[in-house]
Amino acid sequence: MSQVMTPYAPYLPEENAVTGPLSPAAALRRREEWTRVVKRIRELGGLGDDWDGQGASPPRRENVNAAMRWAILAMDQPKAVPPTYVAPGTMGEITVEWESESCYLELEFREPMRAETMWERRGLPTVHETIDDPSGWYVQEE
Amino acid sequence: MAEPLDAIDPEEIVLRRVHLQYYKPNAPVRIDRGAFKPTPSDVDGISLYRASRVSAQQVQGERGKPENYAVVRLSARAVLALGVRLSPAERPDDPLPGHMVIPELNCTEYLRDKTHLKELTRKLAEIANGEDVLPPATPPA
Repeated sequence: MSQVMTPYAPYLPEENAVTGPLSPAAALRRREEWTRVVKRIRELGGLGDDWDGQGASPPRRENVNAAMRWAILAMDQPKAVPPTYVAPGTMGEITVEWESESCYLELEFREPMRAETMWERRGLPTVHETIDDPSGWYVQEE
Repeated sequence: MAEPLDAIDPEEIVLRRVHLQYYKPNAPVRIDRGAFKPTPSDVDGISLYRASRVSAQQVQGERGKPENYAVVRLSARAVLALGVRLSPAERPDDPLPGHMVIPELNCTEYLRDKTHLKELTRKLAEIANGEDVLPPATPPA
């Protein structure tokens, strides 16, 4: 079953807000954004040992694969919002992030079948969760 | 008891080298929290330098590829207010003076107390966002 994280929506910049079905042009644009996300994850899989010159481990193959699998599934959800950034971790993980002026949400692939979220909203306590199978998890607008 | 001579003054500025992968100039918080995550080499904590001893340009260029690194300037007072220490840690083999660490942000502790230290790295990124950042150097033509 899909897990949908909806409350991110109100914090999206106005131009990204979607309240009804996406227009064909918007759907195409979103598809392109997802394609960039998948490409970025693949690229991060090519980082080597000590990629940051400060001792970082390269992203582990199983985490790259899990992040890729997640992104490919999420991109088929019409309202799934693509992450605003994808970052390599320093200990083999991959982190995807959604960020706006008042909200920060991340999904961190640290183990093949498990991911961790951290969700910050202005004025509210930060929420941490562990997701056993992140493959059906995505962020959507309200 | 008297403070050691090299103890950090809250009025000081400390510098953190940030890899290009963690520099997001167009994002609301332009330094990714990954810039403050320890690596497996950070057994004693993540590294910073005292701006009173070394310039941001020196820190940026120390690895020989200034185009790969930004340098953030952080107020020591703001960092200390997060409940961590800034400990002098001069290394004999370090080409730069003024090396310091945040001992709480070491690789072992990060895995043991992840939720707390994830939030701490994010707060450091937010502090960095309000300060001057030396962007990565323009690559040589």
